[in-house]
Amino acid sequence: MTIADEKVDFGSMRPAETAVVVGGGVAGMQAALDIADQGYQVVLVEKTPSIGGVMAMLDKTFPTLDCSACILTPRLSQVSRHPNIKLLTYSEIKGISGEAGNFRVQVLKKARRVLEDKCSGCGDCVPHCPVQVRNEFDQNLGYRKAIYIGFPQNTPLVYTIDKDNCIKCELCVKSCQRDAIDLSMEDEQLEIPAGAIVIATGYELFDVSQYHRLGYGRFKNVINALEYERIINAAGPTGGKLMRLSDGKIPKSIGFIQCVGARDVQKGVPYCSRVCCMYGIKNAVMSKELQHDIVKNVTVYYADIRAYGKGFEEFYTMAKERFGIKFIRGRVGEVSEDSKTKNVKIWAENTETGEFLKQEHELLVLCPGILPPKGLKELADYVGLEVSVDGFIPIQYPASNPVDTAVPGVYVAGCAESAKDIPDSVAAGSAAAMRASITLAQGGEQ
Amino acid sequence: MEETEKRSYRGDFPVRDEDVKASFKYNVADMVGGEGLLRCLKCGACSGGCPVGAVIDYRPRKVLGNVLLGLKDEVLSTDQIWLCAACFTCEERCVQQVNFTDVVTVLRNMASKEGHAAQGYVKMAEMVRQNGRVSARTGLVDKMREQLGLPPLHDPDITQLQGIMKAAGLNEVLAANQKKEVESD
Repeated sequence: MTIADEKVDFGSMRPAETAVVVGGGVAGMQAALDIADQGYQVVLVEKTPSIGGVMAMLDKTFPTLDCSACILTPRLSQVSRHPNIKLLTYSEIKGISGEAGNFRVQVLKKARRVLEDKCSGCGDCVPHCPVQVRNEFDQNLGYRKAIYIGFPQNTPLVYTIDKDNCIKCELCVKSCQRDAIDLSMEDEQLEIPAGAIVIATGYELFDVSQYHRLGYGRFKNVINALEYERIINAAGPTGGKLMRLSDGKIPKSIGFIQCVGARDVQKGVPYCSRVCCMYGIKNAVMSKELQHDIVKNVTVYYADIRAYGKGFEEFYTMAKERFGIKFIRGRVGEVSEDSKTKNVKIWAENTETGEFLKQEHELLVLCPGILPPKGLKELADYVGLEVSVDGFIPIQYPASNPVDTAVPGVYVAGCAESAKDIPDSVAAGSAAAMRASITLAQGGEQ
Repeated sequence: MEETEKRSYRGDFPVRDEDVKASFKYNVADMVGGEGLLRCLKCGACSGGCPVGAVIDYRPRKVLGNVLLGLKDEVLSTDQIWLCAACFTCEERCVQQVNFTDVVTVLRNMASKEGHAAQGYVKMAEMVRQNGRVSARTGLVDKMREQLGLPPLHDPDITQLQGIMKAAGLNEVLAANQKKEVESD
């Protein structure tokens, strides 16, 4: 157990019985749980202050419209309470040496300036902190203090002081009844012996402002899909109320643009990101679900709808037939803003009829594709792997060993390998866990 | 006759087997500038941002679609390829690097050889052949250049220029188009 426990002595862990999982998203959590349930020790290293990854930010999952947090939160506590899992949040991998059965993983444990074994997550410090900054977890739409948790289910439930914004006023130190805050805390270097490594670093979204013509960053009512996700999330900055950013009005008409930073050779992303079609449709459906009386016109501009998974095509049909969402096949050419109403006007060709459309929407949501995360190349370098041309971790034999990298003892799960939806990421997490535990059981031999 | 009038690239029309020249797209793709054609996904990004399409019924995607379908006569003998303003917006935005403007240049060259060049272009080519310029040199131009401090214009060596144009085959192309003009008169 990590919370309120004595300090873990990582140096004394036995490599033959330990695996390191890099990344605490839904794939990494699954890998950690599955390895730990087999009796091995797992060190789960996560860069941000909390595990959960992008799934924790989402409102609903497709195609069933299940609540994302309702699925994820029990998992979060399961991981944090598992006797065989050691959580290292707010930590980064700084180097890896050795080979299968006997790796040495260098971890930089960044100073969170709050003692993990003392903080109970009561939040008494928060009202005292005078510094307010944008919350990255809310895609910078909401605010947090310099001492913060990103979201209520932050796991471990330990506050973090953000060094760049802290003014060292020490008001939080005085307000904490458990003496859990230590502003003089220093970064810590750890070396973890491990027999196997699972890379589950996840992804990052394409920066949609690269499409200057689509107006993201120039017009207030053009947002990206993850921002939309936070806006409709009950725990998000608007409390789940769908509104546009310029004036807080509930938009009567919403446009969704698909394939922004996906299947675009010019922008260096020739691959299909797989999830954008479905999350785009889901978001379109959610706008109708949430504000059925007000949202009248929901239009999705797409290049091709790729509803490849179980239940996806049915979901697409339901969006069209039951929710009356309009689907127009055509990439959007131009986006402009009405200076008075701040409505967004788009130009597009309906390629099915040849009609040139000039339509006005009150809110425009761009659905970005998936990119390999920053730092994945360095991580690959540490283990002696070369990333593939698209920047993801390559698989040597995709058909027979879909989670094995070219380096023995190093496995990959989730979006670190390629764009995946949640079920596929979880499946890959389980698969990587099984491969990693075989390596452990055989002492590095395969 | 009525049916042929209806058959425009702008609307839907029945595509008949005899109209389809299956090798046409490969002929275009083999030319310099036409290489990108076969990569087209027909996503409509070109049409969506086309400044010509915004005001008249012109769709770059449909031109590409017709070429890919093999509708050779449809593409080369109507005005569709001559409406492109060559602003290169589609070329910049195309997700597949089709380079539409270059494809259109290839198509225009093919159409010209078959005597289907737009009359504006024919007139311009004649002007260049006669004077070595796209527009005649006038006293007003000379005066303006002087006022702006630009060096005076030199008249090109027409005989040399015409030699180059002859070698490049401009005379045959012009002859084909002029013949057509006479026919249509």
